Amino acid sequence: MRRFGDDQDMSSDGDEVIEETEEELEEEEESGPEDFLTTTPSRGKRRRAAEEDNHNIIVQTAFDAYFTHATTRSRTSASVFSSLVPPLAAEEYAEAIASASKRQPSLPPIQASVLSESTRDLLFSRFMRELSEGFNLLMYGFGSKRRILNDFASTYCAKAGHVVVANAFHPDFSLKDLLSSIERAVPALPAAEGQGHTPEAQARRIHDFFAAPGPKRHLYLIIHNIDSAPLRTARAKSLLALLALTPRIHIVASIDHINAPLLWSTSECAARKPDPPLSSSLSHSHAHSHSPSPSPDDTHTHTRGEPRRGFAWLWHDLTTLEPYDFELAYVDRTSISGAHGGGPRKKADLSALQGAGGAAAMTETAALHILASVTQKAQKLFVLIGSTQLASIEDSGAGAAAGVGERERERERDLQQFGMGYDTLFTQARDNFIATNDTALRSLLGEFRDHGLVVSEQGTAGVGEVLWIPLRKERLASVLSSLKVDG
Amino acid sequence: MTVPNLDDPNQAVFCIPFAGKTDEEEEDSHVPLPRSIHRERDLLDGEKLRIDAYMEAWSKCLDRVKSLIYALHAPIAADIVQEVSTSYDSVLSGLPYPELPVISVTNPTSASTFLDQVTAHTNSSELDNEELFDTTAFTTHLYPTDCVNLTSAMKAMIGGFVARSHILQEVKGRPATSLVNYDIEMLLAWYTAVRDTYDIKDACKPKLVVLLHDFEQLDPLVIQDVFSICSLYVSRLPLVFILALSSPASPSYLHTTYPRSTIALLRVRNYNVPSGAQLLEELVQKTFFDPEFEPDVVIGPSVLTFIKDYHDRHDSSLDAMIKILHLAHLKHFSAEPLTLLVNTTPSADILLERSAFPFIDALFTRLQASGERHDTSSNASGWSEQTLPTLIASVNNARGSFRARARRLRTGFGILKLVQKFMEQQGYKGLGWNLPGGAGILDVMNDVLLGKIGQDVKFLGTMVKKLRGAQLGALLEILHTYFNSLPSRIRSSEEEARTKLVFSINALPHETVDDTSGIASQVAASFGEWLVEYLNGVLAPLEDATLWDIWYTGLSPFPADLINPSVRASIVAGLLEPHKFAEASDEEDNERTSLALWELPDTSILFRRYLDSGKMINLYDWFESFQLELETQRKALKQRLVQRTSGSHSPTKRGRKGKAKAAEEADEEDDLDKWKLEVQARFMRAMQELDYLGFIKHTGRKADHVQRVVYDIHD
Repeated sequence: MRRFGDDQDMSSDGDEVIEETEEELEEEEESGPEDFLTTTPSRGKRRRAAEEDNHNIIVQTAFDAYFTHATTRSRTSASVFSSLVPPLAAEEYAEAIASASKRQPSLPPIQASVLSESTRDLLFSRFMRELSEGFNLLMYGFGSKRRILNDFASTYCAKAGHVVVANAFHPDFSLKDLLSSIERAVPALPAAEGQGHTPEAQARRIHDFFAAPGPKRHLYLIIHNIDSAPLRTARAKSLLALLALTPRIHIVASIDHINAPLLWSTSECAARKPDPPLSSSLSHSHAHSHSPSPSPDDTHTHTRGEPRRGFAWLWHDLTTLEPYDFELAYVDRTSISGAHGGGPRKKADLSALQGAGGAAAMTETAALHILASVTQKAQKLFVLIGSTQLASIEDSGAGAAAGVGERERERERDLQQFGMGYDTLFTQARDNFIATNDTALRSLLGEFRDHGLVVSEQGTAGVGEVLWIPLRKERLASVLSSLKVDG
Repeated sequence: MTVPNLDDPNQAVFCIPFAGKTDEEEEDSHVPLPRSIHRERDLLDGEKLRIDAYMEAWSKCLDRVKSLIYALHAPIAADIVQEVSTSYDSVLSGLPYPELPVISVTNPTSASTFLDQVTAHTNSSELDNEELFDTTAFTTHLYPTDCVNLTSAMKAMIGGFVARSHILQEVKGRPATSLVNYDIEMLLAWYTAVRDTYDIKDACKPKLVVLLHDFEQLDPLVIQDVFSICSLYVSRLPLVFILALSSPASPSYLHTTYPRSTIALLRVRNYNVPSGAQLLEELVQKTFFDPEFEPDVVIGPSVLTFIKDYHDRHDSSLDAMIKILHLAHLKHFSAEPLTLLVNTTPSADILLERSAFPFIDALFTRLQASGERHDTSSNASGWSEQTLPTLIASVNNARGSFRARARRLRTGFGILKLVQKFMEQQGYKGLGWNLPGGAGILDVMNDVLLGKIGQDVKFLGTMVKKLRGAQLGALLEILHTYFNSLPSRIRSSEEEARTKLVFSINALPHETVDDTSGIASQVAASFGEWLVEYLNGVLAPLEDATLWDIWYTGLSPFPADLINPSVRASIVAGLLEPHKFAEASDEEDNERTSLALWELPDTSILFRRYLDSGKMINLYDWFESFQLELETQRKALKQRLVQRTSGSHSPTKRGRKGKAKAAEEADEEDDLDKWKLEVQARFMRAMQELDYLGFIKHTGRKADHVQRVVYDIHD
């Protein structure tokens, strides 16, 4: 079953490969399948592995590859990334990326064909037509689609009606924001007269308004990353499904996750918007029963009819090859799992991010700036919290030497567990003459809290309030040491 | 309002103000079709003309499909409406407790359209008017998302009735004294109030219909409770539940899932809505192969095949079928400029404009190519006022002849079907369409369109030749009736065939006469021969007609990616071969088919290494391999630069070489740290991009290891 044609192809482009192939063919038969799965081989070895892969019939399809990999133990080195490579600070990262993009000589950037002027116009006019045919559009493919869709929104959609653009990848995004923005964007929408401010009621009102007959401007919703966590919930989906099939509301959305298409059922994808009353269908004898022909004054009953739910997607491949820098701007660049989309949102991480009052996480310099402007007592208090936190991190690290990497990851994800109970802190602060009473301590902490240098949360049962510093171990250590030098 | 800065990282939602002309708040339908790819030979306002033609063609087709669906649904919908209105008329007496009327509707494929049809009848939409009390019911809808627990389900149900402010004016009570909104007493109070206000007699009290959508998705525990609460109030509130089921009627979901204690409270009636392959076949047949209906655009075999495949494999709903037809129409009119001629030909004034020359030229070329090849030297400039009317006339002729051809095709298909059906009735296998393994009727339609039916026609002809006298008589009778039932337009054009039929009927010896003379077999032979010839003539492929591609989608493929995309493959391809998605302007790039790994963007490099690895990936190993590749990249790029500069202006460089080298080395020292940081940053960025795309699973089982999720092979 070996494809000999391939052998020749391969050997013709290599230089000394021809000699190697012979040996390898023999080797391969002798050795077990694990052998070619060794990672980080030397250069020569890697080429060999690649060679073998090409020859071995087992690794022909993705399924085979899966089973091969699943049955063999993958051998990897014991090096631990986070302990060998110090994490980059946010500034360091930004600087490095900036210098990388400025570096000369560099690779010529690849300009995706969808981004070129001529195809873009054609594409956009096609999108507009499809939208007005009652479909909603879903963009997939590799590369950030934010810019091109924003372009579409501001050049085409804005001329046709109201436009609301949602960055669903934003950590602060919620469906409520989107609905409230729609209410703000469309001035003609009837105000909520005390009849519920839940997202359901809002969506209902928006639906009723746009489904009601009578001329009005259309609404275009541009949703970047409709596959993001806040929009994956059943509740969000059902509200979106209601809006998506409303006449005069058009959705243009993008997805990036490879499994995002699993979000919708086939019937949701195939659902159709209620057809607009066609001029010819009105004369048709059955027409009234498909779309209850509206008389001007029965708007209520018309919308009270059964609103359909679904998405009516049309899929478009919009491979832009653009980097996801904007989408990932909110992500902790030091964290290995920081960009992982799925699962529940990590509250601790988020509050740490937002504590600083913006998108950026707390940095070392920021911490030092804050500390430089507070009183001695407050500095002392910070040192107290910081060193306790450091000690507890180290304890946990030493306690489980085997699972260092895991611990580190844990820590990275959730510093809260190394936080300090308020009561403990108060006792210690009193012992160290930092604060003699509760009020004094609170006022000292207030300064830090305002700047997000200390974060607090109600702890789990019985612990009460827990305080911690949203800085990683290495950062915290260096901040503390520079404080000690100053002091 | 000004256009917001869409790049503001601190804001999640933006509103872009309306930027069109402010005074017009009109309906759209002015959105033009996308530009044709053959723009150069389109008319100046070709998009607009084509959209008009498209609107006309599509609405005609849609109307037909919808009226067919409506007609199919109508009897069942009427039954259900009847059932709702009489649900409390004949209550069995002597039961220990009154039963709750429940109507389960099994309609796996066409839920929304069918339920619309039902509610259009049951829902009393003109409730404000005085004559409202002919109406039978109020309807409310419950969706799975409304019913996460009992409170929300009851609230949604009661709210659905009570919140209709236009029926009764809302009375604001003090919260302390009013009933909670999930209490069924609230519904009772509302219902009593409605009856009092409108003075409804006991005999015709409107039913309260609750429509439970996607019944299988509703939590059985919640619905059980809803049923048992409602059953307590049956005597005072005429509730009727309609369950929209998508599972088959037997074994019924209701009976397999709900306990007897709940079922005992219900009086279930089952209804089945037609669905499945048969429905699809009938719809397609009656839309595109019915002599009585003439679609503007004839759908070609590739789209029909797609409809069938999609129906069999993915989604058997009617919505999907309509969507496919819709897209096929849209595509047909967006691609070819000539399609604006579908129904009308623009007047000579429009065609005389200068900008119309390329269009006319193309049209002329097409007409000439298909017609006799005289005077090939003339071109657009040769067209002047006196030939333009000729051109318009020949387009109109082509339209007429295509339509006639399509009509004959449909008629022929009808005959084919009749003969086959007759054979089956006589106990012959015939062409074996409906036998297992035989071609479905959709396949036959495809064959007819492709002109591949000749063999079958011949076979049928042979069978007809062998028919006995009485059988032939019966067949001729059937065909005669068929011709007579055709619309008059077709009937008149098929005069010849009808004469032949009548002639054959008359030639047949009377049944009473014993058939020794062999006249019957002679008639059969001649009729069979004629039939073959006739059918072959009628079933000629539409592609032979002049300008056929205006009215016929032919073999042009259906854009399947629009509804059934391969998202994963696209992303993987984007990562592996980004250059394939790039603009094909660079000739150089096109020639070099395979690029070295270092020439790819960071994320692609990292992804390639990902594909090379085992099940688990050690981040550090990954990082190192990435670093190696970047080193290669740096060196190669430098080399390339050196080559380029030395190639272009080497003489000037030579003088400063020593100096430059020294400076370079000093730079390098300083650079190394920076480079390291840069590599790390690029690694993090690429890795997080892959994570964002869902290629990485964090198992946390091993220190700084991640797991692969995609096992595609890069060759």
